[in-house]
Amino acid sequence: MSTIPDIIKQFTDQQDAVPFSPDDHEFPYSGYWWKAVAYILLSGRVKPKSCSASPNMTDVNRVCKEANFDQYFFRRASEFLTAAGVVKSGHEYYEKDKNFGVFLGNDIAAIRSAARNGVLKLIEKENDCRAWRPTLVWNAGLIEFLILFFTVFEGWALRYDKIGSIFIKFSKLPETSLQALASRSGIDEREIPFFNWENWLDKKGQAALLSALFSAGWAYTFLQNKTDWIYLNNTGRVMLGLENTPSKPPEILEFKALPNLCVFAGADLPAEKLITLFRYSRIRRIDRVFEFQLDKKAMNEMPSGTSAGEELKKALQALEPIPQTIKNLLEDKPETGGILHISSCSAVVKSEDPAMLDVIRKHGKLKGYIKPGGPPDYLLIKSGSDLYNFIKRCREFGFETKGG
Amino acid sequence: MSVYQPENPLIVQGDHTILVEVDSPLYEKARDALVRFAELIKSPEHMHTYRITPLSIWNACAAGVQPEEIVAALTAWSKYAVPEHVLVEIKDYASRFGRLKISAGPQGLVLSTDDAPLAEEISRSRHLAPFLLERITPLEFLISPEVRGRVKQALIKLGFPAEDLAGYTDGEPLPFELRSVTRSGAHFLLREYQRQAAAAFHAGGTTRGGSGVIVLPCGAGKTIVGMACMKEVQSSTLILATNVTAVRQWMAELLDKTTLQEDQIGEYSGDQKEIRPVTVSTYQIMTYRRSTDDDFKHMELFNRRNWGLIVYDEVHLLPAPVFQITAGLQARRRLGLTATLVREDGREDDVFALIGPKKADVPWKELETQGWIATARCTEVRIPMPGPLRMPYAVADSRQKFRIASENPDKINTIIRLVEQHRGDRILIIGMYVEQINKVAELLDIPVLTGSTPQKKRDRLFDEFKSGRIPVLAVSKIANFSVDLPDASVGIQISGTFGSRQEEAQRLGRILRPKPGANQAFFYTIVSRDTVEQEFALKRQLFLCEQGYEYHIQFKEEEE
Repeated sequence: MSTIPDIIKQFTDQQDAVPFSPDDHEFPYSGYWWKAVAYILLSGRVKPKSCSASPNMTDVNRVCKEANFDQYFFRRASEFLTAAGVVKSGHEYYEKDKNFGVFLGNDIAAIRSAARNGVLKLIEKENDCRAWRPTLVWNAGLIEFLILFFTVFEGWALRYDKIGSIFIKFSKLPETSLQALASRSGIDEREIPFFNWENWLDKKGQAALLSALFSAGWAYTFLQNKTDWIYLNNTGRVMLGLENTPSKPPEILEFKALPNLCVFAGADLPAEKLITLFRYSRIRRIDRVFEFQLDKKAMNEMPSGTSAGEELKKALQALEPIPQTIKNLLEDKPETGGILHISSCSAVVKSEDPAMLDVIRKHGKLKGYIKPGGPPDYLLIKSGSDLYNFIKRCREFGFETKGG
Repeated sequence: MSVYQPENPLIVQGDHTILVEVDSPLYEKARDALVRFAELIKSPEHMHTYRITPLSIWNACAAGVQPEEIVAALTAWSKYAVPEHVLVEIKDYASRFGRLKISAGPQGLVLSTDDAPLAEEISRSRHLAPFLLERITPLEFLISPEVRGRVKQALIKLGFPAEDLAGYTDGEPLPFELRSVTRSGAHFLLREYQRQAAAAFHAGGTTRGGSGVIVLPCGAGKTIVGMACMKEVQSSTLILATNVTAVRQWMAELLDKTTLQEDQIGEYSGDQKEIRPVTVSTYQIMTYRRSTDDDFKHMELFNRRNWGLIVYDEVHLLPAPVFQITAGLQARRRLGLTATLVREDGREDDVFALIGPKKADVPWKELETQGWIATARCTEVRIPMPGPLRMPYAVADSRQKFRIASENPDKINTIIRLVEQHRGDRILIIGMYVEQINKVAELLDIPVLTGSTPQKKRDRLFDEFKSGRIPVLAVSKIANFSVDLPDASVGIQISGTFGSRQEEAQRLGRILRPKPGANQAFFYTIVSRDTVEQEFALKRQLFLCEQGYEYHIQFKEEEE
């Protein structure tokens, strides 16, 4: 293999960089956090903003608070997943998009293609209506730019506050050297529009490119000697074809429903099961094994085509026999039953001293207002009685009254 | 790394929680490895949740567990590869233990480290800066002996527990031995785990020993370990216990099993104010004051003699004022004894900083296997709420709900059935509400013992119970701790203090003293089904589940 052209080598040597080798070896996008974001979006608990595909941050904050999950990551990840065609914003809710299956599968070429498209789409999104850009982002050769750029900085992390200027300087290196580098990297240099890079790497473009790298989970930063350094992680390297694809980790398929209404579900269980659980339960933990807490209130918060209980029963079917407590919860019939006797009253009286209730009940001037029966520690005022007269009389007889 | 060992029961999550599959055949082994460095958080059927915290790691380190052992245990029992950052953080927590040392120097006490950035951090900490008198070298600070405890408290909050190697004052010498034949004529020999615990505490008399907590199950002989530690130290000792009954039990044990004479052991309580080479007192008298504006006048006891050792019995109950004074007593040796290091107020870190780290912890089940404590069968009996109480229960606020459920009058039928079932055994009926206890005692025509029972009557009732003249005794929560009732083999818990884990463990402890014959104890908890009491019961059981106890659930319908 030919060496890196001298002029490029000199350029790299001049940059502020620290040696760094990424230690993440996950199969791209196999992490539970990506799945959690996708499933929460599809669960309907986070809606898209009406004017864009971005998630409604009120929903995001609510869900992330419940699950103790990073809402900033959630927002970035959801923007990337939308851009990569994994989910799309429908009329009111997010829906699966064409790459949903790709995202969950093993076909690295398809994942790579979807992710690269996602990155470009995010860059485009942040550069809307820039008339001075002579090409569309799809024809700007930015993926090739990233491949060549990170090829020469392999094993290095760069100063975060300087990376934008390094991008632009790199794009202005002599085309012949860049062509040689492309050829060395196995890219057909004739297909790279080198002249276009500069147009897409102005300040706005640099920020968009960086933002896209972070949203796609390709780049991370770290702090060393009070300076932030940025590096391309292994997901980014695999997506740019600079690294071999690691093998997929063993699938986490734990699935347990406990009598305390807790459900543990591995992140690699079928999507439909998990989406249902995200939709109708409280999210207690987002980790390699998700933890859900079933509760009636959560079940009632989201509308259901059939019923939340039925949908959850279907999702938990594999766990039969499920604990009785869960069965009871998922039953559609109300938790309590029997005949309800309903009658009206004007007011309910509670005393700080329960003994006083008995005094009122027996008081010659007050007892006429009181309805027989009623719950212990309370008095019911007859529905026909004049409440204000009752209050007036109570005051006359030394009771202080408070409205409630 | 994609290691997959499907037969293993642990799943280590990224947030330091660990899920443990209880149904796995390897569960018990994995749990035994885990409890050394992780805390149980939840223990429903099938899946238990543990968590690794800095304090759990520091206690493990102090008890001699190496970080490599922790990593090895997690890796060995984990189903999936342990997240890399969890292993890194465990090593990081462990590396913090002992990075700071407090030692005695020619100018006074010196807080030192070999890590320059850490020294800088300390010097800039607003919690620590007021205690640092002078920076002797870039890595050493002079501190006043009076603030030794406060410094340790501040450091643990900063995340760097200090190893205290400053040593102790010797105290008045008190030579004595443990007897090989007790005064009552029985052979007496320390059990191996008791000997090891005392040795771990004393550490050969070096500065690495002399302060710390020994965790032993109820009935495993904590008092004896305390005496063994006293024998190692050979110095005047102040013992603080939970109540007068416990004080007298300590005194009786000391007289029975050591060569100490009666005139060397004093009781400092509401009744008597003796200060002798070994003085046994209560937390209650120490924290007594006429009004909130007054001083704790009995706290002077800490300085009335040159104590060489202070023993804190049931250290998990140490009241806040005693914590405060203990912060100023760091030059004296301190021994904490407990069955449960769990504090309901979450002040475990203060116990670590002020009394000392855990020096020994013997799993309950291990002692049960060896026959040193009785085998216990724990059963939760769930009974329905009676119809007339359902409405008051439904409309009550949460605190009242708990009381209504706890005082469910239908519990009496189950109590009668259980008492009948265990006829011939010594039975304790334990409750929280005095009215309820009195009612049960009246219905069963059995004696009752509550906080208002005079000490003399308490002693008489305990004696009669021990001798078998009274087979069933109803007790309020005064019998939760330090009451030695060796022959009780059945405990019926009819109400408790909300979700108190330590109370549950202590109550079980009342019946765990080894028994002749089958060495079997039965512990029943009666709860009202589908009420908050049932939820609290689940929380109460956490600690015992961590120790390997299993609760069998019995429904009222099954009884009939």
